[in-house]
Amino acid sequence: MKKALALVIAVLMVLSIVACASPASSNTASNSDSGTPANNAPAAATSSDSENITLHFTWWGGDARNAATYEAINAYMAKHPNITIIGEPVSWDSYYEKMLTQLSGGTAADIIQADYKWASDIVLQGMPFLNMKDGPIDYSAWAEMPAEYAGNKDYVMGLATGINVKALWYNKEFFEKFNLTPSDDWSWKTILEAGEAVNKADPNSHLLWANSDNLNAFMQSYILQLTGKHMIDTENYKITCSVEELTEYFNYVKALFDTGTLPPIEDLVVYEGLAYASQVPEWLNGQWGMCMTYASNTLQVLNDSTFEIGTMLYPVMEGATDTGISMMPTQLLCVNKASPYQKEALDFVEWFLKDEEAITISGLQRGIPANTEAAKLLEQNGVTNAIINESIAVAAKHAGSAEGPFDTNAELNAAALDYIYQVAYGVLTPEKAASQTIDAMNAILATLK
Amino acid sequence: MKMNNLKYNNLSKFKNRIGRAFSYVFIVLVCLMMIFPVIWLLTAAFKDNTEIFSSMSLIPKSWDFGAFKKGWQSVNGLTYSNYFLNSFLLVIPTVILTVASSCLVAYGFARFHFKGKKILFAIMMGMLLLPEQVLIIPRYLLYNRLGWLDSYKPFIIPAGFATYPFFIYMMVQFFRGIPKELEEAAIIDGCNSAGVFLRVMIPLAKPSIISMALLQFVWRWNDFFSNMLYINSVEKYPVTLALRLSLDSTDLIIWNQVLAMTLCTIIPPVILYVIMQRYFVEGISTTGLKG
Repeated sequence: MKKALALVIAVLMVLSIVACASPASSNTASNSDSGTPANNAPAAATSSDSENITLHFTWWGGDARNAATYEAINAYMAKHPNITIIGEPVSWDSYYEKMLTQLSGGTAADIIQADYKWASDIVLQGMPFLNMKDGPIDYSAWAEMPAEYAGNKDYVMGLATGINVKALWYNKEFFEKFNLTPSDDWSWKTILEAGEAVNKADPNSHLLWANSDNLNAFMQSYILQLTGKHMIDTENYKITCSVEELTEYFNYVKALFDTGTLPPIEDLVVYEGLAYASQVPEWLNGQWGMCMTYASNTLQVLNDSTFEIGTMLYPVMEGATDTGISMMPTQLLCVNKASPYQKEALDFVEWFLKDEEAITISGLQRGIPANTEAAKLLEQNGVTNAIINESIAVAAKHAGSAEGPFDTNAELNAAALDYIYQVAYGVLTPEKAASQTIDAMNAILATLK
Repeated sequence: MKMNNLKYNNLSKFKNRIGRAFSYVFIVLVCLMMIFPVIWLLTAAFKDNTEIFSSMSLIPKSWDFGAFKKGWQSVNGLTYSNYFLNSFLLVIPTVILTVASSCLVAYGFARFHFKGKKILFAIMMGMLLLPEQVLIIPRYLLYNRLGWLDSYKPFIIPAGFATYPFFIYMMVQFFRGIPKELEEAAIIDGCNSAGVFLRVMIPLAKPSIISMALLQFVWRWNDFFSNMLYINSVEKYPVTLALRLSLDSTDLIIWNQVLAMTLCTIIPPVILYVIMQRYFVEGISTTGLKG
């Protein structure tokens, strides 16, 4: 029996070694003999116009974006009969995992839609996408965005398709009912005062709805605006703020709940994982009147809410040197370095983002275009979204530094959220929560090094 | 004395009835709780987004079948007919091969004595304990080299080689419970091992085989992750992948269409279960009791 057990363990160990070792070792071999798209093409890197070429294009999206993208692909193929583009829409869930598996297996598509949040990872993973910096596609007409969102100052992993910003969104009827005046100089304090007034006038109404991501994002922005430094130092993997500074944020969180600006924590946690406000019944029936989210996630809120919605600048502290607000790409279009048809792939990307026909077909499916000429063209044709345009214009005026690569790190956010909730439930005092949060986040950062 | 007895009888009958009434009420309530999400799913297919998120009512404001019609259409001219066909093309061969190969291997483990049997059985059980996540990348690279990606081969071909240790184990337990005398009788009548397997063991194991087929059908039908990993072309998408195509937080989601299609996709496993229910329960109980 003991022998059998030892054998099983040995087999498992061998298997795990194989599992760990094989991705690297087979990278080189997999290019020659697989039946998958990127590899079964002829090895020649250059190709003439007459040659039949198949390109694969992968993206994520919903029904409308999928339909528009296919329409654009079909229009391109009609113009270029020797090129076949196979669309591979994948759902956002597990998109990143699949992309990484395919990149390491040498089977990734030629044209890949990517998220700015992966930029720092992509740089670390050997930059599998073609560098667009000073590259074959002229992107001088693109709106200015921090370089971090597409890699770094020397490496541009892809071209932005659209512009995204974070902003406050409010129910106009709610604001009229409680005599609130929207303006772009709301600070964290203004929110608190307005929230208190709302809750006093009607105990069932609360100014703000926030999901768990928001509570974390508030913390990052609050500390950045307070100290002028990003909360997470990504060079030394350390938390930059002091316990006193973080205590100030936790005091603020406590005040948000104490004044009734935020709904009671028991009600809030029910919706903590929702992406947007229009999934919350209290938002739809007008009890909770304001939310914070990215412009790209607002389409659904605008569509599903039965009342008019307005936008304001994301809260900025008085005297802040860095607002932490920036224009960011909705998505990036990248070309796979391993693709045998880089030139053709680049041609398609250029056409997709710059050609009049492509721009008209795509419309706002990937946000307000980052290509300012495309945005202008759409506006002339009456294709625009006034409120999203407004949020971008306002944010552009108050632009600060880019999000840090760890700002949306799931592990760090979960650790911080734990303490934010303990303050909300009154289990921990803000001081204790602040010092424990810093310890917990530093401990996680040490493992990320 | 007689009177008392009668009274007592009536009383106990009455008590019985009350007890039974209570248990029925309880069972009905539990049933309602269990089926509530399905009913909600059904009626939500008739509501618009705002109504879905703001009202708990099971009765929609209007009965419009448009969501089913619109939802059936998918990207680039494809419809859910394609996706359903794909799901069947993927799942049915996988289930048939799993059943055939698992029975054969289980018969070997249950009835034959050969060198290294214990060790092989231990390895097989070890595979049962091996977490799926460990296998993802080596499998992906293997299938890539074999040129199987973007086809149903990574699902169907391994199923023909008894790669589901859970089912082998389940069948071994069942075969061990079948009296040896039946096989001996068959051998006396002139059956060889193959004959015993096909004419005696398989017919006796029917309930267990049906349980296996049913479980495998539902698991493969609902599988999302490996489908997503191995299949790239939308034309080859099974229903699980197709459903997720409509969902994205940066795009508009028409929930009633998604829910209408979700409802459609759960119909095949439900029908199969209803038809096979009798055998399924029998199979589960007999494999569990003996062994």
